[in-house]
Amino acid sequence: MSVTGKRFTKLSAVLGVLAAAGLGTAGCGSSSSGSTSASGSGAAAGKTLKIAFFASASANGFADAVWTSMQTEAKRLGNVQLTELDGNFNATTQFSQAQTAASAKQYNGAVVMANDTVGMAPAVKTLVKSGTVVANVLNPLGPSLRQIAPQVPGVISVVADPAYETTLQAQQVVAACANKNPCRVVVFIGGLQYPFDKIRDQAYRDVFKSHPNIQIVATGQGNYDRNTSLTVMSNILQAHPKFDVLLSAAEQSTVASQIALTKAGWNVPQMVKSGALVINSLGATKQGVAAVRAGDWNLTVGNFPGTAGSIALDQVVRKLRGQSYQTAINLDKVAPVPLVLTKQVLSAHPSFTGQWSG
Amino acid sequence: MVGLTPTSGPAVRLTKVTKRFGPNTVLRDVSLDLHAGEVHALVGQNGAGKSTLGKIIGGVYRPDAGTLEVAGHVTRGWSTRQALGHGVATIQQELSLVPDRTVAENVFLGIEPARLGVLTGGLEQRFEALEQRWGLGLAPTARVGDLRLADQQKVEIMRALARDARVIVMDEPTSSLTANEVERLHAVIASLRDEGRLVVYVTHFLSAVLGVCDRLTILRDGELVRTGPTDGESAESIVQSMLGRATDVSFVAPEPLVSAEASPRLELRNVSAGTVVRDVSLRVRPGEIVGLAGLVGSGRTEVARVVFGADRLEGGEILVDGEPLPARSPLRSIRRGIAFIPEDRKSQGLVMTQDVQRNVGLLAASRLRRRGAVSDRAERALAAKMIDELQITPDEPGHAVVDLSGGNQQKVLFGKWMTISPRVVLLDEPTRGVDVGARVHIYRLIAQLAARGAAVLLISSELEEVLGLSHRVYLMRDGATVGEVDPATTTADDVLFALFDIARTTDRTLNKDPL
Amino acid sequence: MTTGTAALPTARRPSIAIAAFARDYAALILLVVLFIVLSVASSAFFTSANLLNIVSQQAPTAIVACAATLVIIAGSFDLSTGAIVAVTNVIAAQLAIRAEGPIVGLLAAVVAGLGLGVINGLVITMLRVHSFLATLATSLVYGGLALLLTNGALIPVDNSTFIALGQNDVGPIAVASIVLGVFAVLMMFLLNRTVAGRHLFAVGGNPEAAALSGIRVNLIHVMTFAASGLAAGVAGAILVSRVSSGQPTQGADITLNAIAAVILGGTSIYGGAGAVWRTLTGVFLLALIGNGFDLLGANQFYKNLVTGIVIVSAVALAASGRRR
Repeated sequence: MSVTGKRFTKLSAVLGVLAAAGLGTAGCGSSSSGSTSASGSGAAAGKTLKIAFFASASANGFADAVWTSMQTEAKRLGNVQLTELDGNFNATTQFSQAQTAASAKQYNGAVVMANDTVGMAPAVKTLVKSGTVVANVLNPLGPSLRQIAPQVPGVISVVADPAYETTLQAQQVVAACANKNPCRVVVFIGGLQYPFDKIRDQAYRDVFKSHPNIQIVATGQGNYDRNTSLTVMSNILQAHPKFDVLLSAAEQSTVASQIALTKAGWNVPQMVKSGALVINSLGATKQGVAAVRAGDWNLTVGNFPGTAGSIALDQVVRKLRGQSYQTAINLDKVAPVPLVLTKQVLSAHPSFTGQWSG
Repeated sequence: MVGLTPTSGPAVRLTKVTKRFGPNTVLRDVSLDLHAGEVHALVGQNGAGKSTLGKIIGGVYRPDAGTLEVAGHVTRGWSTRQALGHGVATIQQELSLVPDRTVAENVFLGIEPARLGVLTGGLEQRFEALEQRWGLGLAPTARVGDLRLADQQKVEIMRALARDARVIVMDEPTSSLTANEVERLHAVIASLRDEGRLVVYVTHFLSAVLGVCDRLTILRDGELVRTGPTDGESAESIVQSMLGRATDVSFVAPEPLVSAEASPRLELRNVSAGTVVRDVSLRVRPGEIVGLAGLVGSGRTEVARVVFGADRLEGGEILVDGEPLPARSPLRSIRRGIAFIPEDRKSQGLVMTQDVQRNVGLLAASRLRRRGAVSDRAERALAAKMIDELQITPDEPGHAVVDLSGGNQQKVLFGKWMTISPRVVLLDEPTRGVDVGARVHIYRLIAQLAARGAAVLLISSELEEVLGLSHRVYLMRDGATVGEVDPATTTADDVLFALFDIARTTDRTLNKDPL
Repeated sequence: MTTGTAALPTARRPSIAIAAFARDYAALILLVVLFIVLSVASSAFFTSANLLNIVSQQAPTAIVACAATLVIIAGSFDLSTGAIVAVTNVIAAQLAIRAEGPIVGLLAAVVAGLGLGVINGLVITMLRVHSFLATLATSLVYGGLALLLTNGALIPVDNSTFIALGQNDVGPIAVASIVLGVFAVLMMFLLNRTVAGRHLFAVGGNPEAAALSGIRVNLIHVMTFAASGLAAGVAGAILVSRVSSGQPTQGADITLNAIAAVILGGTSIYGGAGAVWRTLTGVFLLALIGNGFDLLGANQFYKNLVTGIVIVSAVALAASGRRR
């Protein structure tokens, strides 16, 4: 994998320190140049476009998938130089990165994956005013988390409605529970302190409201961390040793739950195959897709960060090169495969392996 | 604020003031009047209580019994803050300035011109007003950390004046000043007196007492000996009163030496180390207690540290049993059987967070191993043996040392070092802060160590102690041994006068602590 | 904390004895109280399955905290344990999916942890940097190394040998719990029964007295950081095995949780006094709060609030013995 831009300077700095500490660093051989730029491969060439990716954090599978697809897309487009800015899961860090980029007019374009979708909006507004062409990926930027249309004027919005995907998930649960009363559901959410997770959780409950046979017996918060999810699931199992559906809005928690259930003596693949347990996950990670293909889980609803990255970059470059572009793209409508990925759907799409690792 | 006028009775009155620290009574029934418009010296030996008395007036300590009146008002809940409010400022030995701020900021620290907590400026003008009145010659914008010590002291004095202090307590203000700086400070003190302020001057330096002070109070063992004008006093008369009669402590006469001809166990030849020790030569034979007497700052402690390997030897030779010690460190010294009881047992000797057993067993731990593990039982037995031998109370190995009296703490320290059966014992102020009863035990212990064949080097500020315990005594001055006396034919007064004569005739040593 | 103030004769009045007991055993008292409360509130709590579960869950944090006890008693802090967990769990996963295999991978994590700990110790003692600053710096270096090794990505490991350490049981007890038990006993032995342990207390209680007692103070410091690094390596190995994947964000919260547990247990933040059992008390006190919330299905938003109240209560109990 090539390492570029900001990340490269960080790498050389860290390597320097390690070398000084006399520590051998086997296995991290990256010796690429400082940028991914490809000369015009047929497409509109002209001057080289400098485009920044404001990653929520570089140590994040989701952001990494966006970044990787942008690199591939840049090669295809030609004459695009990419730089990744590590937001380090910190809203303030990202805010100042955007402000610096705006005042220095460093980039022609930017793709923003915000840590704080509300707080980041003013900085993006400044960035747009400075003449930078900005696309926002994944979650809508601005006060409304469910609005696909851009809330910051001038921004290209390449996003999904968080409630849409979880509503699909919940409808699948309703179908699976049709003949069960009660149908006991354990819900896993990333963290209810996050606004988009609050919306996801509410979408589940809204669907279940009209189905009294469905009971949510516990709601776990895994904070997108496997070990935390593992602890929470094993604790929930003590209080609820038997349930019918695992409904997870965070795939890290689904993977960890399977480990916890197995540890508690459940034969998860067999139970899923026999219908004694339903595993319904959100994410379509590589691990999740593999589990659904193997029949260990019932389904995973897709997240497509790779699609988001290539579309966003493409739209930014189009606008910069004076070509036609769209201002709002609903990611759920442009997915490469159907959103609800069951074993059946996946066998119809044998080449799809998932776009990210979580 | 209580204004003081020279005519309204004493500025400060102490009535039967008593102060204790743990089991030690450091001030006993002291009654004293101090008046505005005088410079009043508080003098005495180390531990006589002069500093404590100064600190009580300044609010650093509160008396355990008796009353303190300031300008006719009996004080209650006396603290430095309260004292300042009543116009009593203290200038401590260790200055309490903020080195990174300017002179003016330091002077007005805590009383900055402000409205509702917001600085209003005008610092410089107020400083100028102060400077015009007192003329101490300080630049308001200079960084305090860049000033010389004497000037820093002036900043402290200005700080007191900025608060319109009528009483200024100075604790050993000249201890780190050069002779010239001392003169300048004394000039400032004189002008303060002429302005009708009371200056309480706590000092060791008799020349300062005779030179700048109007009246003096002599303390001995926490009691007031006498108070009166300095006119008609001489250094001799003051020292006589400071020493008084021989103290009540009976010394254990040293055993006669087994063989006066024995070759020395420890020998120092022209040793120099650090900035203090210049040229020290001495010999200690097995079974011999050798005293090292000198002024504070003469390098006594540093001699012990360099012998022990805690400090680097820069010149000369140190020999143990006639052999030089090449690579030296505390660990190597301990392995050679050298013990070092440092002057400050709390910060250098004991582990205050641990109990008696662990402190006694610290050096012996590696010998108490049974199959890799330190045997708790063996360690407890060792501690119990030392408790018994040294009569440590309470006699529980599990008792925290922090709760012990000073004397018992010192015994624990002795016990720790006795576990290595030392061949050379270096003692630095072995009875500091120890009550009279425990002192006698410790004296006996020192004699015992020597009787068992150890070579003992005894360092102490208390001349009676050095003379009473030692077979021979070396005199030390300015980092060099300058002579040797026979305790049997020498009195404490002889030694002290000798040291004073030296101190008084040489301007260079004007600031050395005589005791 | 354990340095009492006045030379009071022990146990003169019952109230003093109670206060002294509260001071010494504050965390333990709260642990017992919380234990009783949860037993009453949830029938699922006081079951061997749940209790063994808690021990197994907490094993990585507890192992790091046990070693942190040594570091803190010696008067230092190790802020790099989380970063060492991050590096070592990634190393284990990377080696496990290569030719070296799962066992070499897990052992490499432990050895790497030890090595990074020794580097911490050497940086602190040779450069004479305060441990707080030094380990803050090395934590950035180690954390950066973990990112570089993975390029920020997750490394899934699908291997039954690899996951045994974190997921398997021996009888009813998890392998991770057994590792914790062995490690805790080892640390207790080191602290209380060895010469190095004696010296460690002395170094923390009075560095100058320790030096003047011939103790090699620097060596003791290097040893405590080595133990801390080793513990973080073991924790990294358990975590990577438990979640069957190496990730550079693993262990991010372990540093402060471990230090909090040590201090909450009653080990002196100033050094010189403390015990491993106290640390374990602190770890499980904090763990019970999380377990209780999950069992009762209580609103998680109250969890931090309750945790804060428990910590303040422990501090207040401990302080009650000092008031006069």
